[in-house]
Amino acid sequence: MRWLDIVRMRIRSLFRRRRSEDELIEELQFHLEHQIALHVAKGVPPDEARTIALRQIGGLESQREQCRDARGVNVIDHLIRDIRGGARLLVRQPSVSVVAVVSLALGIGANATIFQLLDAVRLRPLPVESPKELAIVDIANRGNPGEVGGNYAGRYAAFTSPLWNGLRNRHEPFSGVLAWSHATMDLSAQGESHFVENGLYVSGSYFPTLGIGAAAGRVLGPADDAEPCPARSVVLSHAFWTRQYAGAAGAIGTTLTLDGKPFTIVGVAAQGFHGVEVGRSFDLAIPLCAQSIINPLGPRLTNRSMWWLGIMGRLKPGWTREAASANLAAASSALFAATIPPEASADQAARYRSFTLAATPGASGFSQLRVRYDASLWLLLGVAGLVLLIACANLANLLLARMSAREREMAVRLAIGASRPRLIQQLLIESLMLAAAGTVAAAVLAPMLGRIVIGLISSSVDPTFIDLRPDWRVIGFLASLGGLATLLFGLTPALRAARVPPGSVIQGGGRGVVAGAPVRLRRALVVSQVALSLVLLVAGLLFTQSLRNLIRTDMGFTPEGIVEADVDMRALDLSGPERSVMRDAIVRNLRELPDVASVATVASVPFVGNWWRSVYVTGPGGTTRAMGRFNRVSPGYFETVGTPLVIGRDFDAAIDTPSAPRVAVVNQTFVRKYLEEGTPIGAEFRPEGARNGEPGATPFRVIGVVKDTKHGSLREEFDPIVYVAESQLAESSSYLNIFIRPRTPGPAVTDGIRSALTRSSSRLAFHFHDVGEITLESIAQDRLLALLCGAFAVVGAVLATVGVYGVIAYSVARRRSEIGVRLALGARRASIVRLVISEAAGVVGIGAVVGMALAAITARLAGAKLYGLDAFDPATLFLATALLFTSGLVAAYLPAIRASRTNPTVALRQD
Amino acid sequence: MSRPSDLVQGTLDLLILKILAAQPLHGWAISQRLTQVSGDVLQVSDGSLYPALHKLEHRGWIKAEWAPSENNRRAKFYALTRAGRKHLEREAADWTRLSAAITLVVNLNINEV
Repeated sequence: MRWLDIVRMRIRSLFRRRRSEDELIEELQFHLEHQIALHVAKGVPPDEARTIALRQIGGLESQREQCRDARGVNVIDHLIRDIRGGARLLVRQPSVSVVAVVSLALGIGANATIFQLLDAVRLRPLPVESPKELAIVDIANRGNPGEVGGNYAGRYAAFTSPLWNGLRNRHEPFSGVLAWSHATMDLSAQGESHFVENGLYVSGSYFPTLGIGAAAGRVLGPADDAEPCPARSVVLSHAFWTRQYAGAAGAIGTTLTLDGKPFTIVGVAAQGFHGVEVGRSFDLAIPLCAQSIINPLGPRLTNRSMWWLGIMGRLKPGWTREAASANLAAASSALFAATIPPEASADQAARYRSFTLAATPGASGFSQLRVRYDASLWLLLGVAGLVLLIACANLANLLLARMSAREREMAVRLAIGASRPRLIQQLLIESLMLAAAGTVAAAVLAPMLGRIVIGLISSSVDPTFIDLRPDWRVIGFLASLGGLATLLFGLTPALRAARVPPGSVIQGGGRGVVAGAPVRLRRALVVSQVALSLVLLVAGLLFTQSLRNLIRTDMGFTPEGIVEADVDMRALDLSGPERSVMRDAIVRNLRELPDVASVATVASVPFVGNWWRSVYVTGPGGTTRAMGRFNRVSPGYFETVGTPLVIGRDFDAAIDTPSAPRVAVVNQTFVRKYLEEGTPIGAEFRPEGARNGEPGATPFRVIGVVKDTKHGSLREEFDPIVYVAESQLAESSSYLNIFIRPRTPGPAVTDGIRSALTRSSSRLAFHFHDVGEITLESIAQDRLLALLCGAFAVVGAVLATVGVYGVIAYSVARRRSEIGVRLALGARRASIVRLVISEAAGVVGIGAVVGMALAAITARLAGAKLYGLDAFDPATLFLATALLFTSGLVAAYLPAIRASRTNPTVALRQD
Repeated sequence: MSRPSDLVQGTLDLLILKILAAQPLHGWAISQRLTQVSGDVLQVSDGSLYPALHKLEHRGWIKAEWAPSENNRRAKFYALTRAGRKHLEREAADWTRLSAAITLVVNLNINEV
């Protein structure tokens, strides 16, 4: 193979340069000796013979030179020489290198940070066997949950158990189907609860279908999930096993308590497996059938209106997702017709029967994060892209400035015969080295920034697990970003420099002749920087104001400081009326604490619970049906949360007993929307009865009106809310959410609450939440957008300011003699300052106009994410422009002052 | 033909390849053979031989190997590669065609036209 030989030879000549030189000398020496011998044989004296022979060959040194040249130009050799030269340059001008690497690290790092999150929540396949074969089964035409009624539990409440049983028995397109749900489980036997946030209910087919084996012991199989539920088995995740049991093999076979029920650890799932949900990990998994053991009072396994399962299938070989969807759709009507919820109204039943199954892509698993953050992450990636563009413009400027200093070098090299492509190659390699250093720094930076971002969107209530191990997608993204950046900032300066006419600089006596063109170019670059950073500033300001609006929004109550104690009375095994007695005792004990201002129970915790019911209001025009949020609270709730009573009275345990007429407190929106003019006190309405779509028998009478409060989210408009009395409920639930308003918040209060609860009964299970934190968490996404966009905007603005400074300083240096002439002719120093500042103002002004146009176009993308202000907000535009102008003029001030202090004599003598 | 340096570009390459087609030789032997086969007409200066050899080696038409010479000194022997042999065949054919054509033109009696 000829080319192989050539490659081998070239590489050899590269690495054995010294040796091939020696060989050359030896070869020529061999020739010379024979030649000399020949001459001597003809009778020439040896000395003379040597001289003749040397002359014949044309001199040893020149021979060596010619032979080296004959071997041709070695591309690899050049590359190495360029890299060496580039490295020397980087070291020689450390300030340029540091600025370049830092700004690239920020630009590329910002992009990589967002991209790795996108990759983790959206692109990366699940760490299971052949993830591409997985499909998520869902109802294609689900619509609003209210249309079919029922109860929903969990983040992926797509199916009920009866539907799962139907699918499990008939799944033609799939070699296996699995169902799962998640649950928070209490690990402690009694007293304060220790929750595993990430407990899983899994079908027996879960591990086999995913192809996940055991790291120790065994995983759950079909035998563990049967009817009746056999031995209570639990499988741990590898991480949980390592964390809680230090990875001890002895843990297998031992027992742990879940919600007070003993379970046997049968094994540990394979390392690296974190379930089928992206954004969450799992700690332990129990069979679906164990749900009836964990919560016998709320069995889900036969309930047709309890939606709680997510379903996934593995496609059989040869089946496409489309074919599977068609097959599932065909089987849908029979499945749904057989499982109509008993309490469904005629409308709801018809809607339910119309449901059609479909197979959706499942390779990257289930993810709520994806739904919630997808749009935000793409938006942030776009914003990060702008930061990189600004950084590249900055670098291009920096390199252009350096290039005009190196014009002489370029001209000399061209004059002595370097080809232009060689020069361009050399300059691009220098840029590539800068980009490579920046990319490596970004690769180090990105996971750190990523962890900060995850910290922003994660919380104790809703822990987020994102696998940030870099994969080929992230590495490829980094590499292509580095390459793209090289071209963006390196190509123009390289092409420019190679265009230098060889003779010009030498004749010009040291002053750049072609430098005029780059000034225009450099100004254009700064204009684009200013424009882009204006867009960034607008985005940052919009999201910051949106966040401020959200924080300042009047939610109708004061969550800060309220301690929520969630109490579980199941272990006490009490009857309904006994639970009511226990509830009252607990509340009384808490109220007696000296640090506690007020105590109340609440059924639906704001920003967590969600309870809607139909209400039927009878007026002069007949009965109308409307929707209202419902909540059940104890007397003192409004005082505890700080919601003022507008008129009427609060509940009173002594008056509002189970046997007394039903009473309700409603909010202002309820009155405005549903009740007649005049006093609402005494107005009556009926909630929905036992069967959906019909009013119940007992009416509620309004006894009080409270101020509107937000319940679902901070962004929502006020909903109509109906509060009913906990004291009228004959039988308390086993679970209590108790709100405690301390006189002065602090850990001492929590200790007091803990001992009061234990005093009430040593077998209570309980844990605490900070209601203020729950509220903050509901705006995690807004915080993320505001903080990241704000940070990106600051970086962009700093880079743009540096750009303005650079171009103005350069322009002042070039106009030194002109300024000298002006001063010599009597111009005042102030007018010189004005001259320079007005140049900067021109650059920033054009940039600002372009930027405003861009911002007006792009702001619409952010519109849906903003609260309390428009995407096109003149005040924000004005503020951003003013900020940029200020920083731009500050940046120009230093060169302006320097220009005004120019010594005319010195400046003029230089020409 | 009094100035051998006026050799048509590439002629030296062709001669070297042709000589090496018979057997591998070292540089000195090649220079001797060049003088020997072409008589005094094609006097190749020693100065152009070695750069030509290195160029041919760089192009992959000949390869070099160190071996003992006839008087048992270490010498660099050049040999034709497969690619070099093909190149020689092509070049030789071209040369024959070209020289035949030139001979024809040179011997042409203009008056016969």
